[in-house]
Amino acid sequence: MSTFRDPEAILDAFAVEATHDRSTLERYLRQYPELAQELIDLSSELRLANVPMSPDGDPVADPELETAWSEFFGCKPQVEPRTEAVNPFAKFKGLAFAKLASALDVPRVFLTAFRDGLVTASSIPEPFTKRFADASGVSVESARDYFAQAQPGLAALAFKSDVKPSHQGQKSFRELVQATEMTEQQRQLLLRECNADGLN
Amino acid sequence: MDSIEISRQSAGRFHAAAVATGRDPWKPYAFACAEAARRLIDVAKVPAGDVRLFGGRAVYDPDALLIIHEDTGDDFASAFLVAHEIGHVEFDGQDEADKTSEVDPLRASEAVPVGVDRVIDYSQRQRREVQMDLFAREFLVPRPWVRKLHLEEGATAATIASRLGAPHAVVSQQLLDALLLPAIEIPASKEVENKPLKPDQQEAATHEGTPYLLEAGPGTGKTQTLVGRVEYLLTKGIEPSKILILTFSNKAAGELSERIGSKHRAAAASIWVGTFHGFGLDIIRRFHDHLKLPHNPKLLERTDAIGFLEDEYPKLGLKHFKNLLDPSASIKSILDAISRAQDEVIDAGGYRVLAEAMLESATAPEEREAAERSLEVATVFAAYEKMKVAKGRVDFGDLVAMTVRLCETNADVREYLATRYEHILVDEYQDVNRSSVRLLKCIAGEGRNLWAVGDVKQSIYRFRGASAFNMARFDREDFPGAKRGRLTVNYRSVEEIIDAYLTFAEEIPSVRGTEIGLRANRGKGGERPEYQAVETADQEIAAVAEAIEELHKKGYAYRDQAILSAGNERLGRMTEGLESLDVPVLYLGSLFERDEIKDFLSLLSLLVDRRAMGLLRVGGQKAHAIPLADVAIVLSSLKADDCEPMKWVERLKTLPPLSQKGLVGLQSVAALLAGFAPDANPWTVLCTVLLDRTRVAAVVAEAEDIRTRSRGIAIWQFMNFVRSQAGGQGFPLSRLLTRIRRLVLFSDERDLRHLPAAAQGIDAVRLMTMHGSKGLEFRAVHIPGLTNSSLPRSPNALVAGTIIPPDGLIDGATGKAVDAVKEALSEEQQCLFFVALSRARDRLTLYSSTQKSNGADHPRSPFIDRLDGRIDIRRVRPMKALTASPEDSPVPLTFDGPFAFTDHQLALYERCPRRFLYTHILDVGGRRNETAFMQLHAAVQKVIDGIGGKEPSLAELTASLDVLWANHGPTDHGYEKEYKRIAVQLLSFYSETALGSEIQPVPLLRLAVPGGEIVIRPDQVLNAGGKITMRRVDTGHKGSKDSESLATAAFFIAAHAHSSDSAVELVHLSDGEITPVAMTTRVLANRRKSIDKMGTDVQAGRFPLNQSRTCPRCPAFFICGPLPDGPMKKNLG
Repeated sequence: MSTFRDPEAILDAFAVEATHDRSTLERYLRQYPELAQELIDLSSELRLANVPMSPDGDPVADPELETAWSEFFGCKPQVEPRTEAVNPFAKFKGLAFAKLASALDVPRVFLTAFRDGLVTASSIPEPFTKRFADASGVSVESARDYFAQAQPGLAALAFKSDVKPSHQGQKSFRELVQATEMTEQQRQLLLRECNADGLN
Repeated sequence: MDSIEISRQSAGRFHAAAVATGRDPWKPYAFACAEAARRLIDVAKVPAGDVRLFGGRAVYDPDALLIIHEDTGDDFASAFLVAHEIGHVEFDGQDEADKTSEVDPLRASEAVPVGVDRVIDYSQRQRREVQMDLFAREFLVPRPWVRKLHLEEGATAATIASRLGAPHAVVSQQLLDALLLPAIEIPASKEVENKPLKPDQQEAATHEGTPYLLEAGPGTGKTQTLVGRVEYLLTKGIEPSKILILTFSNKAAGELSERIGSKHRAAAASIWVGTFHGFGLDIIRRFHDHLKLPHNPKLLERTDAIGFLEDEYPKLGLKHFKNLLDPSASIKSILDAISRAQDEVIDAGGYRVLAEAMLESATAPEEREAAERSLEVATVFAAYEKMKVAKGRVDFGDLVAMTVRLCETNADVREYLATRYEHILVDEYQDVNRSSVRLLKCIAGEGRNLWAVGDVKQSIYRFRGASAFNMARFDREDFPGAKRGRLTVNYRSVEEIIDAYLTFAEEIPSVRGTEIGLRANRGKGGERPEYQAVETADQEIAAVAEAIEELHKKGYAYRDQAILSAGNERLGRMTEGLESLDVPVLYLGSLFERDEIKDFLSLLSLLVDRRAMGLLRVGGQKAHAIPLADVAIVLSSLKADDCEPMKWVERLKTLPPLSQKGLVGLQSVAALLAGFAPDANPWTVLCTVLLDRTRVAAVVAEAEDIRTRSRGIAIWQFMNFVRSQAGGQGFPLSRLLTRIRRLVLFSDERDLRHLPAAAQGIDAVRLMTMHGSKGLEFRAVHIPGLTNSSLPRSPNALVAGTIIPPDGLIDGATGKAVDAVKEALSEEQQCLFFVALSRARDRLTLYSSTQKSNGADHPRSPFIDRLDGRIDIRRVRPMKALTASPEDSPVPLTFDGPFAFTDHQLALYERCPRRFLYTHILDVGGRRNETAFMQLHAAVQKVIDGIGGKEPSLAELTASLDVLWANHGPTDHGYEKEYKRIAVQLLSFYSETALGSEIQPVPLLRLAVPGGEIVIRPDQVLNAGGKITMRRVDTGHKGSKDSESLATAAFFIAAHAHSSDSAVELVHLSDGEITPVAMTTRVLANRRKSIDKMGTDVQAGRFPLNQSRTCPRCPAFFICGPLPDGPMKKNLG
């Protein structure tokens, strides 16, 4: 599926489009949601590249720039999938996922809940987020963003068109720790992270 | 071999491999998790309803290599979920996610072919879940393992279950499969399915642009072409979900789905393959709100429908179909007529319109009557429709007819259907009826992408409204512009056989003049088909046996030989005969009337029967033999007081002395059922008996002979049936027994006679009806019984008992409906014979006996003469001889003094001596008043008996009725008032019968017979001016033989002996008729002889069974058969 596409090629294709207005951007966002962040960045860059500069290097007031910015913000509500763009789990599939779980010293079934957007973002302790970011090689911000915006659902199931995706809401981090079988040591670590962050 | 069996067997191999690496199968959860771990899959248990289950019970997550399952609180149940998901991983691939919402560890490996399951088969997706359930069960508790535990280590289901921590039911289910079914061998190659299409098939498969009808004779590769068509469409890039395949049976649908799935698994899951009825049900479910039906309307089985209508019947005011005694038979015929109307999309209103038109144009009295009968059918039809609406149920016929009406009147539905499917394929087009064609027009519109295949010569479902007319009309009217194609090469049979059946087919009326030639791809075989004329019916069986053995010597395996018969009746006798000649045969026959099944039913009945009648059969079994005299002691003690079922167990010591053997036998029967109460689940009881408390299943499993193995298959089939009973009121056991009686009574159990697929590998000759042989092929086919009276049967005989539809009901028929029906049935028989002939690949042998049992000539079937020149004819005198069929061994009775029977008892004897034995000699059973009508009659009879021949004033009679009604009438019935009104009607006729005459005291009449006498007390004696008339009063309808029956003759003879000039009359209250009895001297002399013979036979203990349609109504239905050992002394003075 989309994960097999070469992101560079897509960004190049976008770059050579005749216009980079809102509809072009939206078209690309729809088709390649996983590249949302990159596409938006690129679109801004392309627009900015066209903005005439004043001799002192400040951008001159330019109606097109205004429009671009307003379009950019106007796009925002529709760019919900943008967080998938930095899906930290994208590179962790199969055995890689299993390794990530052991690196974090959590059961796989604990980690899938984060991947699938089943944990209330505000309940995730910062120390865990940091550990996760480290282990998965993304920035803490990206990890936080992902946790905040991932839509509940099992991605792998969504491709089975005849299986209706259904989800039963989210759990708090602490609830998740309670509802997951793990060693006592693992549990204590996670609860300590919770407590350290002052989360109930 | 289907994918379910393949995956089940592989589960067994995974189990064995895991055990070989040291895993412990007795710890199922760890065992399943280890298997997952071997595949690098982690297993995680989360609380039920956890968000990570996404609403399911188990999930396989390929991205995390993880199976998540709900915590069931039970290791085995959890292990089952894990194993189910492992099945998905194994068969759907490691990269495919799965969510499972429901599992069924008790899943039967084959669906039960009765009731609702007969209509709806599993969808492709459901089949997948079935497959995974069976995979899981086999992985955790493989058949070979439990088989070994049970056979070699003597482990019972209970011990295995408890050691494994598994439910007893799951282990039992698995043991039943392991012990009773033969192991299935999966063929190594699948070359047949991968053969490329031949040019003519290719052309047909790739047709485009117009509707298309492919005429495909037998053996021309019809199914392969159909599958080729699907593959062509898929290659063209057609979305699988846009392809719809309609077949005639679920079996055909399953096979097609398998064949497509073997190459295109994902596509096969999205293609809709099923029957017209199954498709209709889908539409009804989708648009249930348009039809004002519940979301998932329940299907109404015919047997239930008869029960419901029986209740309504007294209110309908029928004349021709009036039946105040037992209307079920009439209702059954009427339901058949209704179903036939639904085949033509005619509802009750439409039926009435046609019937009224008939009445208007009727001139002759018989035309008038036919019209009136149709009007009455319309009345019942309307009541039936109302009842279905009230109950929110639909019946089989509705599934298509209702869908057609919905489509034809509702644009939304039409729009939905028209856009839903792009390509429609129809199999067996010769078997579709008008309603199916109309449904097809709704789905396919003008039919540009409609592709159908059929063979008019094989149209054998005319009684369901299939008609050659639909084939003829395909391109002319239904789908104008359609093209036809024809497959012209036969790949199945040798040329001699093809020549024979094509010669026969040329004269089938709707075939005459059309091109039907086939080229025999296999060329000549060297042997022409043969007709063997043998003298007697028994010799015919011997001739078949010899022919089978001769072919067997030439390398024709038994399983490659089949015996086809026009009807079911002959197959039972044929089976017995062949078995006695040591020919291995596989034929289940009527499941519930098989000996081993009756044994179980009798045993089960003990749990709910206060009178413990079942002991009469159970005591006859070797394992717990109870002498007849001891059974009699127990039974008579129970007759005296109404204790709870099985209470006799506690009283054995207080009874008159029992023999030691009897005591042991009774205690062993009690032990079999110990711990079960009347509310027990019959399946559980039987599993316990079969797998825990006896070695019955083990004995079957260890047997080598075909007869015992057939018994095993019958028990398996029976257990599968018992397990799938629907809920309802009353004890499950009583419901089961009642349902079985009704299924047999209304012949709704026919499909249970089909062998389960697992039995296909057994090397034994197949016996089946010609209908049942459709779609099959055998190297050698034997067709016995081809006399002029069996094939073809006369059209009049065929329509006897069926209700002829009103004129104008059958679309396409001109003239009288009765002629159209007869014509169709007559042609159907030719098609049936054609189907039978064309099943043969290499050898075809036909047989008939030339002599009737009374020695008269019995000419052969004219169908044989139509094969003239294509077959060899020879007269055969077989060397083998059938041993005379063992007469029922005499019952070891002695009488203490002369006996005295009443004329009523004599009447029962005449109906069935065996039933007489149970009722009047062994003193069990008695009348069964199961329906409201029977209760009504019982109450009326009591009133008349009570009056004792006195002056019957209506006031007195009704007063007496009021009293007796409370105990005997159908008081808890919703229409009690209607029934009581009928009872009063009967009595009022009774009171009128004596008007104008003087009532005389009733004498006791006696008639001496060998061994005792017949005693007759007339119901009424009248004196009209010195002329004495003696009367018998019957509350029911007059039967055709009543005025010449043995009881009537005895009454007549005894009355004349009493006063030589007295007249004898029979009064039938339900008919409101009085019939004077007049018998010729010759008839009387014959009857007298028969009455004396009764005396002699009773003395000699001869009580043969007179099997009839109404056997299921008999109280002794389940126990009828061998009796415990005698002797028994009886005083019947």
